[in-house]
Amino acid sequence: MQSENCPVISSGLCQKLKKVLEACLAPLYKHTILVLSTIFVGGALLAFWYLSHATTTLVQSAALQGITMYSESLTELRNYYTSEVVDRLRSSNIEVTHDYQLKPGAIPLPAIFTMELGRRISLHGTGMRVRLYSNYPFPWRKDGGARDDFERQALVALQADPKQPYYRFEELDGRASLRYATADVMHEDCIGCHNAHPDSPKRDWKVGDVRGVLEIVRPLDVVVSQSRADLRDIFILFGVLLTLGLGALALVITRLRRVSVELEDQVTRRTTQLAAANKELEAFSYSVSHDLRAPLRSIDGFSRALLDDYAPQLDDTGKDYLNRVRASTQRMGQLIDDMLMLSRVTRSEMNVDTVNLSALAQTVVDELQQEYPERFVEFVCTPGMMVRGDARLLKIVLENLLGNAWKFTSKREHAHIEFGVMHQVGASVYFVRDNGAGFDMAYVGKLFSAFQRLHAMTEFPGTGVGLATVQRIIHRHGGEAWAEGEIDKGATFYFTLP
Amino acid sequence: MDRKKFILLVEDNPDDEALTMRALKQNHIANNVVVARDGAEALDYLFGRGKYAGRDLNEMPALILLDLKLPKINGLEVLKQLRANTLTALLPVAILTSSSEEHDLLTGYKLGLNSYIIKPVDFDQFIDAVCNLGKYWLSINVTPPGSGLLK
Repeated sequence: MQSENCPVISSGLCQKLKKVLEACLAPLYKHTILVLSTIFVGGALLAFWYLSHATTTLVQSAALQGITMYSESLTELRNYYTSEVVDRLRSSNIEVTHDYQLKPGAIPLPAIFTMELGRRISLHGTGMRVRLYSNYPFPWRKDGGARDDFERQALVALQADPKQPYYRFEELDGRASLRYATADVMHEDCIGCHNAHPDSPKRDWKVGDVRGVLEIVRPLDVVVSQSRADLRDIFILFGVLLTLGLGALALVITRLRRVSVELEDQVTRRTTQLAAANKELEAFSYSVSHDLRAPLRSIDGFSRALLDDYAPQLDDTGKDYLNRVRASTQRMGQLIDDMLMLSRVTRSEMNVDTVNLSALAQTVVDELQQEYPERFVEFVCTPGMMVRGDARLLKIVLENLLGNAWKFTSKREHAHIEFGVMHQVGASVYFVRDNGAGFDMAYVGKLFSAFQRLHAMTEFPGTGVGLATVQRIIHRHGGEAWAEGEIDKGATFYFTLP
Repeated sequence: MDRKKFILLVEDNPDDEALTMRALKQNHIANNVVVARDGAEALDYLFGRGKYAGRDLNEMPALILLDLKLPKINGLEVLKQLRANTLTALLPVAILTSSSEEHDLLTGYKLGLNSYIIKPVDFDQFIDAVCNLGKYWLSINVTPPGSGLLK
């Protein structure tokens, strides 16, 4: 059983790693406010960057969507004009020309129609512009060819792939704009006219040929500046909230630090008081150990001297009395020793290490067997029970529990003692079980109190300190100890070690 | 030259002294015991000071039996002073006490103690302990040269 986090072998390495980690974290803990501020400000900047990025994307995609619809409407309108108006009127001898305004009864060419429509829309003040250009402009168009890089690129790109609109976000005349170009594709309705028109610069048009480019320019500077203003507001709000939050946090941390300093002071004070109390207790037990035993030794020694030197003058009753005096002094000596052990168990420093409980138990039983060679006790022990604890103190626990089991099975023909472990959720429960005299569960509460005994001295000897000692040691390890028993059926003592 | 090994018993409790002497007597060593009643007297004896001024300092005990709790100068302090002086630095010292305090044990051995015996309450055991002690230190143990010889 392994009750620790690191395996025994690599516990050294594990501890080193822990130390390195602690060394890294120590400055972080020390400058909590600074670290938190950095994290918050970093997070806020990241959020702001993301927000600004998202806004730009949103503005662009909205602009693109709008312009696509606009472009489609224009194209559709022109197609409709070509097929439903121009074609029908041509048969009724109405002239379709580029200078329709100069000729009464004439209507505009589809291209001119589109350009005029665009011009009128741009008059609404949105800054939206529509332009048609081509590699083969009609001679009356002074600026019918490509004028800048975008237009040249658009012509090339749309020649290659007429279906894919070509667009760019760029500065145009000092304004951030979206330039959106679609191919002006030759339809069946257009071919006849274009190949027959006297001014046509090219006469071999086929259906699907790219006649030119319809470009729509939509200025975005108003939207962009609006969104920037919104972003700035959000940023200011963010900043204010952040400052307030950090301020509150700093306040809380400062308060917590003050509380912890106060608590530390209190702990130091209490520890000093405790140390003083402990010292007093130590001095007391020292006196008990030395001064209380000295007179006892005198009583016993001189009783023995009386028995030795004045035996002829004493009758049997006198000798019996003296023997009783001696027996009592020895018992009192034992009580003093046990009491001292109990106090020492509470006071002594803990040296926590990995302890093999199984091996420790075997040692204790071997010692018992040596002390009572006439006893035959069957001892069963689960091997390899490893725990973290103070080996010396845990040995005292096993000495008491196994010693008790040994003692209370002394009247059994087949004495049986078992030491094992039960693995339960969250804890391993160790137990010492015997088939000895047992006890009445009605008195189980008294079992672990010092100087409480459930058996007569004549039945089983003892001072009643052993189980109190066991409980103190287990408590010092942070565990629990309890017992179950039945008269004449035996007893089981349980303990846990976290 | 008749050389006899002897013990210096440092004990303030007259009862304990009487009992120790009784135990030594039963083991026939009582004639070879010098008794000091406190730490100061023990040091006076060993260094030939105070009422022991002019004592022959070639006569040093084969064993000093030292109680811990002594008036004026306690046992551990006596031990410290003995170990600090070249004259007595090598003398075998056994502490014979009621105290089973770990602290005393550790300090004692750190100061160069040779043996630590806890006086049992049971007088029978006490006699056994003193008997073993006397036998071991006076007969079996070999003392360092130049000490523990009574002319």
